[in-house]
Amino acid sequence: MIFPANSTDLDAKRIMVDANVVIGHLDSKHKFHTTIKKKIQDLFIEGSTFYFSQPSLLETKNYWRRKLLTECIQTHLDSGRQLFRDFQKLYLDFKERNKGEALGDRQIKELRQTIEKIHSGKGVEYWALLCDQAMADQFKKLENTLASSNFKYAKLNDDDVFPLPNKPKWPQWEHVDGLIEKHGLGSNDAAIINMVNGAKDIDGFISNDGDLLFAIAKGALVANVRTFTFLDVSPYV
Amino acid sequence: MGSEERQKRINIIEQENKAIKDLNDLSEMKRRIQNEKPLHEQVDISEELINKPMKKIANPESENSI
Repeated sequence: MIFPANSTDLDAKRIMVDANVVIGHLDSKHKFHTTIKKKIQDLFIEGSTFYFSQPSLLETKNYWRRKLLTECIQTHLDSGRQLFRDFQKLYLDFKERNKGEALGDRQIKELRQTIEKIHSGKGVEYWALLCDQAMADQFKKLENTLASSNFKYAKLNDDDVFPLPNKPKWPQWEHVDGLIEKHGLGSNDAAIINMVNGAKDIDGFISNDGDLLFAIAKGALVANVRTFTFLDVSPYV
Repeated sequence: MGSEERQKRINIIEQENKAIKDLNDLSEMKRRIQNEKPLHEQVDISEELINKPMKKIANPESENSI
């Protein structure tokens, strides 16, 4: 069963969070930012410990990459700076389609491809400069924020969360394939569920990913862990 | 949980809130963009060229990355 995260029933003490919760916690423009931050910080003050895993870290960094590139390109346009004609046209098309959300991975690739063919490697240089403008200083801030966050980064050799191979409950990695095949999950989502299944003493998990929650509602999470979400729970009961 | 531990956690949250506020402040990036030369000037491409449709200046097809 999946429970509402924004309720007094969330009494778990050692809680794994999905990437979308980390992202919502950090991005002040995220629609759930205020709700997530308040709930998590209140629980932390009362004694809960929050963990995020390696796949979640990578997803969070990727989200921030997309957000910063989007903001950088927009800043150029807002400042009256001219970008390559086709690049600019494609960006504005994506912007309208995305309705205020950050560029997606595929969209960023397509934007890069509009300029990669520029003569004598200048396109590559142009793209590198744009990325540097977007990320050089801002990405360090993400590292600093994660380091000073109440979230703990749980590595696979972290004894507190993931027991060593010669101890019981080491994550059984063959379960990852089963999760992908049985539930149509993406590999990152499967890896996150697998980590929750194999983690020691984790009694709560929070995610806002509909695909992952659907899989959990169908039994993907075999560990004795209560799952919560800030989304509407009705599709998953 | 004792009051000392609780206060320690409150202090962590205060630091976290400062870091989140700083993280979401993009004014440095924006200032940098505004203070630097346009990108096409930095790589020595003319303004005329950036206004042309790509197919007129493209090189032979290169392999796309996966």
